Amino acid sequence: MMEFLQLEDLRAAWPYLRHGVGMALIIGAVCPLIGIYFVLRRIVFIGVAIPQVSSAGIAFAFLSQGMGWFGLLPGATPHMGVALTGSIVFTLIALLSMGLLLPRGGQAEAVIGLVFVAVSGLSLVLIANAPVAEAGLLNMLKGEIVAVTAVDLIQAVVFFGLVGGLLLVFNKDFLLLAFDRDLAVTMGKAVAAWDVFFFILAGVAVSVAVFNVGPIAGFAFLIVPPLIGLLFSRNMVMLFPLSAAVGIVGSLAGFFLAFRFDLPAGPAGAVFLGATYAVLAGVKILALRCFR
Amino acid sequence: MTTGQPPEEPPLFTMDQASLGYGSTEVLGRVDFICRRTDFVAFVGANGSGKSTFIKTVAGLIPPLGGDLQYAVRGDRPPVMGYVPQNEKLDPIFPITAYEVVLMGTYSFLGPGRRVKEEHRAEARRALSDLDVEGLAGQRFSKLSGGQKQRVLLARALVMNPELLLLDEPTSGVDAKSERSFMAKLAELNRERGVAIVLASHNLPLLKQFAPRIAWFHQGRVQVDATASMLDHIEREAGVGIFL
Repeated sequence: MMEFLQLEDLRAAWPYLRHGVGMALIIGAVCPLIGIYFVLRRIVFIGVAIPQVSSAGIAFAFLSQGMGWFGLLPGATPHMGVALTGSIVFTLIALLSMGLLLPRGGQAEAVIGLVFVAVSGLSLVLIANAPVAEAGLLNMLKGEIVAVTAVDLIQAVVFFGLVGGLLLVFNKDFLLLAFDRDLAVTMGKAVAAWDVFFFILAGVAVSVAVFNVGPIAGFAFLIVPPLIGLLFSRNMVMLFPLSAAVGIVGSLAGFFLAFRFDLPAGPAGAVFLGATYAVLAGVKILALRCFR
Repeated sequence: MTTGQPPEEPPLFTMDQASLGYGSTEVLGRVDFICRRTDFVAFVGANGSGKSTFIKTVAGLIPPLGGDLQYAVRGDRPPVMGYVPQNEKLDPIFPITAYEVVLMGTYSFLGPGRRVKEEHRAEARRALSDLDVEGLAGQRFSKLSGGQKQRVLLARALVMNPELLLLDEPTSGVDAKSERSFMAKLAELNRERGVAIVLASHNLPLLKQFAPRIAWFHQGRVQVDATASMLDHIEREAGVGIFL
């Protein structure tokens, strides 16, 4: 068993992995707290498209640096601050546009699908033309969390700490808005301002997550833990910690699978979460049928 | 148009030649309406006649397209309004309990980021008890029957200590017994707590038993605004069923 788990190897590699583990933990804990509202407000498709937009923002930032646009100094080494800025700017523009302007329903889903396809293609086109860091950028988009540095981790702790803290403080306000918007209006709450505030928090969280674990894992940690949480939560109070706990377990499992089988950690975490959801949802359906 | 209320009572809200609707589409036009603090008014009319539009406008969910809508102001604030939507408007995906739904009513007293206090929790429990649904507190809201949901939503509105209750088709999808008991509860609130009630419904025979004042919406106008007995008189003159 110990041999299969390769715990000795893990212990030896720990000094190089600890930042990545820290990153996985914080993304696993905070992204589901935002994702809960994507699921409950039934805007999951926006959750799918936004990480791709974020990736396109990163690619555009590298291209801008390579070409010396916006006063950036062209260089062979990609600047991570530039990439994160590109990611956040693209994400906020797209999220605020889609979240606030699109009506719910079939046509909105079609537009979001169009955005998803267009920005996925745009990312690849921009990468192909970026004179700097093509390989590094591809690794970033794949979700190579093992390469996380101490600076990346501190940056993520600050961003996610801020987002997570604000979500906790204003949890009841966001919940009221999501569950019964009309009631919020009759209470005199500034619903449009709350929407903008929520989408800014979501935009920052998604951008930083995609920057560190890639778009696939970014989406997975946003949406799948809340879906698993919804399978077993008996009330709203239970949903939040349960979803965060599932996110943490998923991120650690993904990290371990990546180490053990030499896989990219982000996608490994996404596969683990997806498989876990399929199994648990199946078990719940069977249990309901058997005990009905 | 006839008005079934004494003019000396202070109004809670007043509409003067108001035009109501969505975007540029007028649903109700030239509306003159006064709601007084002790009123129990029911709106009847066919689907699309403007009942919900009226209630949403008063609740502040949609702005009037024209004319004037004035609320009575006490101190520097408009009247506290409790809004009870159609229960099917609330998404069943939320794993929210009946108690958590009622607790939401107390958010009207709380500023952004403020925590719910024990006194608010006690208020929510008391409202559930007043509506005889305290046994449902821990149950998931989406799993309740239509009648139970409406009582929970009414409890949520009551924790706000409203001066005016606005109810949009509150008994749609509710069985006849629950519907009658719900209307009796509204009449009791109006009588004993002095809460003004404005509701939209299709069930005219039931409304005649409980609502002292009934307004009929037809062809984009408030055609009749009268007491239940006057409505009976109009029906006898014009033919039974004209309001359906």
